Amino acid sequence: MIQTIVTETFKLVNIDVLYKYYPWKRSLRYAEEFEVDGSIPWSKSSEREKVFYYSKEPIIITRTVFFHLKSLDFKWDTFEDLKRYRIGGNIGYRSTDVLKKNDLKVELVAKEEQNFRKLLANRIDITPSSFFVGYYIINNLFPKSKALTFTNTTKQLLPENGVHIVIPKKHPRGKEIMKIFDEAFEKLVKSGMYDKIIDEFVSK
Amino acid sequence: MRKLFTLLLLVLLSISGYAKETLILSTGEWAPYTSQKDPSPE
Repeated sequence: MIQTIVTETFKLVNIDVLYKYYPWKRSLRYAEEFEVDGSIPWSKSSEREKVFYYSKEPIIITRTVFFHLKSLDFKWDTFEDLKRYRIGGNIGYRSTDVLKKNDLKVELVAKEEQNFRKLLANRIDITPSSFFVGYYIINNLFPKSKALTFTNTTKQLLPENGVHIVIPKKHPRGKEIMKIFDEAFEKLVKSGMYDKIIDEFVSK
Repeated sequence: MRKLFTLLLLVLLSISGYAKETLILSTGEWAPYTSQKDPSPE
């Protein structure tokens, strides 16, 4: 989804985008060293802001919420409230660290979609996921009749996190490219195309 | 002759700014939807 948004944004100004996939740290390092023109998706940090220009607006804002079946009357306020539920988590995710730090038992899986299968099979009660990612998995994995049995909490497990495109300050045209992106992104949002991309991703 | 003409056309397009610019962006290795992976490694 993020790639689509960035590609469509640059398309508005007649620029093509090619993506190169690396382990996360290397992806950032290559951008920092200007081996590539830029990188996605990165949240702001004082360290990174020293070496990168950030897009003015985040490309997306991720919200991590709990997913569960509608048949479960689930509401939570404190971590103590979660203790009576079977929680499915994902290996290496920040949400898992937060749950574990709060003394919660988490059943771990390697792939996020496994937790949604486990929810449906009633092997876990709740699982944290990004709102967009969660509904993408549900709508791609299950027929509509099953997909409609899922719901999510509005309360977030993690704070909202905006992610940006970054261009290295070493890039001779870095500032210019970022300005081009910012202006085109504004056009993408105003045209309604941005919402369309997100809607398509969620309801695919 | 045809090759020479194509080359000349490409050079002219490039000079006149009609050639499309391509940016290369790096990103993390992920499945299409697993953007839940922490996008901010330490």
